[in-house]
Amino acid sequence: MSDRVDPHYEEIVADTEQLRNQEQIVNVEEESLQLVLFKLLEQRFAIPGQHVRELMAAGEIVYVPGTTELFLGVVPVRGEIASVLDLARLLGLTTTSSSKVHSSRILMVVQGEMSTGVLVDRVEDIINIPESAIQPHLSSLDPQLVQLTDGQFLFDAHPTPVLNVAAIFQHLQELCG
Amino acid sequence: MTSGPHRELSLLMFQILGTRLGIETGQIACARPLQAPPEVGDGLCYFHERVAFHGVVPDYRSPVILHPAAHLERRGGLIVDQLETIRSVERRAIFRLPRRLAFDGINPYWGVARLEEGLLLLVDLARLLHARA
Repeated sequence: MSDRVDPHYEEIVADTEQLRNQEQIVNVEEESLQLVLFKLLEQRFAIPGQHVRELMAAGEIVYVPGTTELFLGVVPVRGEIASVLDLARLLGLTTTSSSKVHSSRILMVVQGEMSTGVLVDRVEDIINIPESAIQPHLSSLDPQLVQLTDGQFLFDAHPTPVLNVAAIFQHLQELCG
Repeated sequence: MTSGPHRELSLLMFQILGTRLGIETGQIACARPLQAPPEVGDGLCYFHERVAFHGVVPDYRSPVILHPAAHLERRGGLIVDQLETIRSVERRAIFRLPRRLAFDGINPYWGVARLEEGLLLLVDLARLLHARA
């Protein structure tokens, strides 16, 4: 290595250092989002972790005659009775079969004072991603799915829709009248 | 009918399509087996005619007519299936149904009882028969 030092060397190092610092500042400032990843009828979805109160095994779901088909029934949860939403039907996927019910999980989802159980096939992971990783949907996506989700991000190279919990509760509220 | 120092409710329990339901006995004047299919004008209706089972029509194995108590000021009767028993349930075991449940028609329930063997949906007979009018 030559003893000769480029007269601009220190200037370049300083510039590089400044750039690195700027990148670090950007990384620190970027909001991250915790997501719970789950599978429903072999499709992967994500739901913001802030809206998931707990995860429980789907035991016996008691069917409530008279309810719309969006509801599978009710379950007891910590001294309360919670509804269980058929998310697959809500999202326009194929109806959940009864055989699935016993091998599934229930995510207790909350938004303010509202809450409901959501039946899923299995929970895969809890991850943190930068908010910028969430991109708008492709125009080819089902309109119902677009309405009830907040965009999508790539996970294992597959587009994964992120559920919009507020929109889901808004939809349910309209149904309840 | 409330028994004890108002801490327990007496419930008539029955099943339709495997769903366990209960009606407070104080709302019922009498229960008698359905001898012949109901006819127009006799004021009788099957449970599923007021409360849909997602399009499934139950096959009533042991149909029973529940006639409303006089104080409900309702006429006719509700046909249910498979009477099980009359049971006292503590009030503290009774909960409200979630507000987020959406119904296709009327909401016929006033609560749900949490029993050792599972949940029991509590039907308001007055509300159901009123909805017939």
